[in-house]
Amino acid sequence: MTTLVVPARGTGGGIRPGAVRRPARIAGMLGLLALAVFARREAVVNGAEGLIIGTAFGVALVGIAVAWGWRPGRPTIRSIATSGGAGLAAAAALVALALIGRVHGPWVPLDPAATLYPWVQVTLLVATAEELVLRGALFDALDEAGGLTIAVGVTAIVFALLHVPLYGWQVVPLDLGVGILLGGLRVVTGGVLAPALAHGLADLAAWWL
Amino acid sequence: MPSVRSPRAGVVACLAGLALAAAVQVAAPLPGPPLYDGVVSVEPYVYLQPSGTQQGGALGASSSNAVVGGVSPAIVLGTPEQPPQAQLLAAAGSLALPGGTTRLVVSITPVPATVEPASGTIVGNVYRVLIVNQAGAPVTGLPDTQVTLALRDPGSTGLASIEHLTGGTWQSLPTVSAAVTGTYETTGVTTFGDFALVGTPSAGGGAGGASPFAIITVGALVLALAAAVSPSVRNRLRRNRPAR
Repeated sequence: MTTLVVPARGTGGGIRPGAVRRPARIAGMLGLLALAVFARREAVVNGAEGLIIGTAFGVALVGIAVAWGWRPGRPTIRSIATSGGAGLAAAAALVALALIGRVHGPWVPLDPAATLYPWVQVTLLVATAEELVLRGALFDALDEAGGLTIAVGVTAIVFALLHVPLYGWQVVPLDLGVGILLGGLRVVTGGVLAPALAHGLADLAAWWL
Repeated sequence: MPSVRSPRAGVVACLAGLALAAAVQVAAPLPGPPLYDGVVSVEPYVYLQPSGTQQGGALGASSSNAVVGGVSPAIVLGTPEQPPQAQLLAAAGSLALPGGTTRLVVSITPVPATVEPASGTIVGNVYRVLIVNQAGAPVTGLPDTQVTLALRDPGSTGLASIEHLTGGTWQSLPTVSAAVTGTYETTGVTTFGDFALVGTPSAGGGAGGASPFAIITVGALVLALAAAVSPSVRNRLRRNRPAR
């Protein structure tokens, strides 16, 4: 977990400046992300098993993030504590949002079946991988190119669009808000640990909601 | 440069994002948990009138939308399945409002098929899509505006089109394959009523079953492409190039 704390530019982590021209780097990243999303959609349409799709998608996103310059920084105990606290608080807020929209029905009890554990692992992998790409590599590139507002806004839009192929357009407004929240966490903490924690825990909560 | 440059701006973004998400959930709550992502989950298609091994339990959806300034609001409504089996999207200002309209009630309801189309077979459910104002007066879409209806394909239908029941016969609408998994959509809907996806169902009615090998191959392809065009690899190659 500690490797997810990424210092911003010039502090030993993030994108190396001047690697390629910024627009090309951003366009390349978005293109690869679109390719990964398309591949996942095709796999779902063809009936592949959800855990395999999730694993492949998560690994592909981690690969994109690393290939495009994301590197783990050197966290301090203070930065871990700050990011962890902020991530947990945001996760609690996201779960509260889920409860607002919940269709009232019986609560699903904790399922100790073996299917839970691989699901937890893959869910955390996908959530973390999305954050490494969006609030990690892409955020840094956009921040360099246009500043924090552009970085938060564009990564939130990409985050919302990322979910359309599988969940429909109706999730866009909600995911846009959540994307801005996660981008704000990235700005506040300076790394991807907090958004990854919030994102991962919110996704895990779906098992019980 | 410090690692946290603008904590105040970050807090503002957090609060703005949270406020937007909360407003969306209060105004038009999603029927399931918020879908930030996770393991892909595509629920089986559910039918209003299941037969054989088909699952029943198709549900409808409705929403009530305030009209402000005499302009129709943006409407996004989908049935509660994941992904939704029927969705209606209308941009703001795309509906012709009867005079005195202050509120629009939008509904999508699965209904039994009463007439068979001449061009093929109805796949999935027939959905009745209605928009009425607070007095129950029907609302229509304006020509050349963005009113889109999307219907999910229950299986691997292949070629399919969305048809509209007009005057007792099914009329084909311009249909494209949508971004949403296994879904078709038609844009420019001006009149509402009963809609269905018409096509030739596959023998299995389901997915073909891609092998893990194919998935891993696609993943490896993405990784290889990422590595090939990544700035770090290009930089390394540039550094290793002998000086002239």
